Amino acid sequence: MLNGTAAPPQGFQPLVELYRRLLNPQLKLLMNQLRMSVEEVPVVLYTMRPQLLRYKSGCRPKQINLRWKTEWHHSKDQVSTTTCHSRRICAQLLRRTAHKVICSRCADMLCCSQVLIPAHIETPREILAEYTGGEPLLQGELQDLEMSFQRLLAIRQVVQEELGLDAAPSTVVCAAMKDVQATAQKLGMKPDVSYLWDDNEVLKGQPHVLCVPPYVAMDGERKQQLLKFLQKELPTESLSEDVSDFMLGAKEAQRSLWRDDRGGLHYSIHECGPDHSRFPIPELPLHYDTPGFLGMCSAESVGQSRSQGGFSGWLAEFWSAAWLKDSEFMESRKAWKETATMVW
Amino acid sequence: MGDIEVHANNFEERRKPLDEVLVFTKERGLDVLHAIFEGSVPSVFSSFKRPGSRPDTACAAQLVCFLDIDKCSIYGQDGNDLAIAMQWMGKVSALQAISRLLLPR
Repeated sequence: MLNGTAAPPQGFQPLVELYRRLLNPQLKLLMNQLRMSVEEVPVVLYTMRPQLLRYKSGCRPKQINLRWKTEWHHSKDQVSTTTCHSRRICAQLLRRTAHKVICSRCADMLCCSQVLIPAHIETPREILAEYTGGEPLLQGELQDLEMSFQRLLAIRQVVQEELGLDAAPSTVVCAAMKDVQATAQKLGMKPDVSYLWDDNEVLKGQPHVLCVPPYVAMDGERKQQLLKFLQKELPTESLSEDVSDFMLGAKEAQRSLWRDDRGGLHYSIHECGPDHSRFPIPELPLHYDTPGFLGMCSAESVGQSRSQGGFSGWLAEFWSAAWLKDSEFMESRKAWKETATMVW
Repeated sequence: MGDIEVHANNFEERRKPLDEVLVFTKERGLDVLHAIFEGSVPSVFSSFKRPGSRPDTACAAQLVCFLDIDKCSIYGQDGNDLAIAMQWMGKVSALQAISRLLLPR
């Protein structure tokens, strides 16, 4: 078994920088929007990665059910008390048995199909050190899993940094259909205020799931930034034959590399227009008398304490005709108009 | 808007006497907003309140934001192999020896 270590793995930072350029810009907009109307917005990453739970080995013709630290897995008692909101989880079983609540087989499936990577985990090796499965893993399998977890932790770091989170978000990996409310319960969060943003059409219509358009194309500016980064960090000329063959072998829609008639390799990043449909937000009590994103919301900024009553500083500033001449204020106005459009 | 403009030209001047100078009525406020937004005042101002008065509706205390990763938080399916390629191509030197057979396809 590999020993855990707090040191970041070698080569981790380039991976983080790559994912930073792959991050959906809608995430920041969503968080800004939510933070205007909600005091606390904890974030949880919830991803379906069957390979991290029901591992299909490339070293031997075998599927291995991976078992990690017991506390990380969902336990049956925590799932079975929940009404089966997501009947698709065990749709076939439900059709067969006509159960109205989650069936025991479905609960079993959930127990072994979801695992939490706690926020305090820093390296893939810390995760591998918690492997408790009965089947010993081969060195190649361990390395493969380490790479998978490294990518997951890199994404987690980018989300934390880009969304300005105080701590790394908890990460839940599942191998079956997602159940946001049962998962929230497991994490000690309130299911009634927990929402999942997901592109999976299968989840559409489920309670507390907000379907978003799949992020499979980026605007021209982001695409150019990504291509520039790739040409610097991972030039196509440097790709080994194994790697290029692997990338060229992807499904057409997901292919990130193509070969021209002369045999030259080029990156392929799908491009879309600058206008994206924004992520939906759940219905919340909203008010905007003190828009926090404007630097002028502080009453103290104009020497007026709110407790003294009278007029708030931001409003007086906002009303002043002079700010129209000031580029900083023009930026604020632009942000305001954008946000107003975004919300209403 | 005359008294506003007089003081708007000088920041220091604006700081102190604003409260005394501005006769801040809702009607007048909306007039200025119409000027600023060229007639199309966002509906966000529809419940425009006198400054200092808190709204009746409080902020929601908490919302737990669960985010899917692939094709939602990040581009494509795990970055459409780009991250895997980066790991393979020596950016993670300890893992260079991985056989491509190990990667699920």
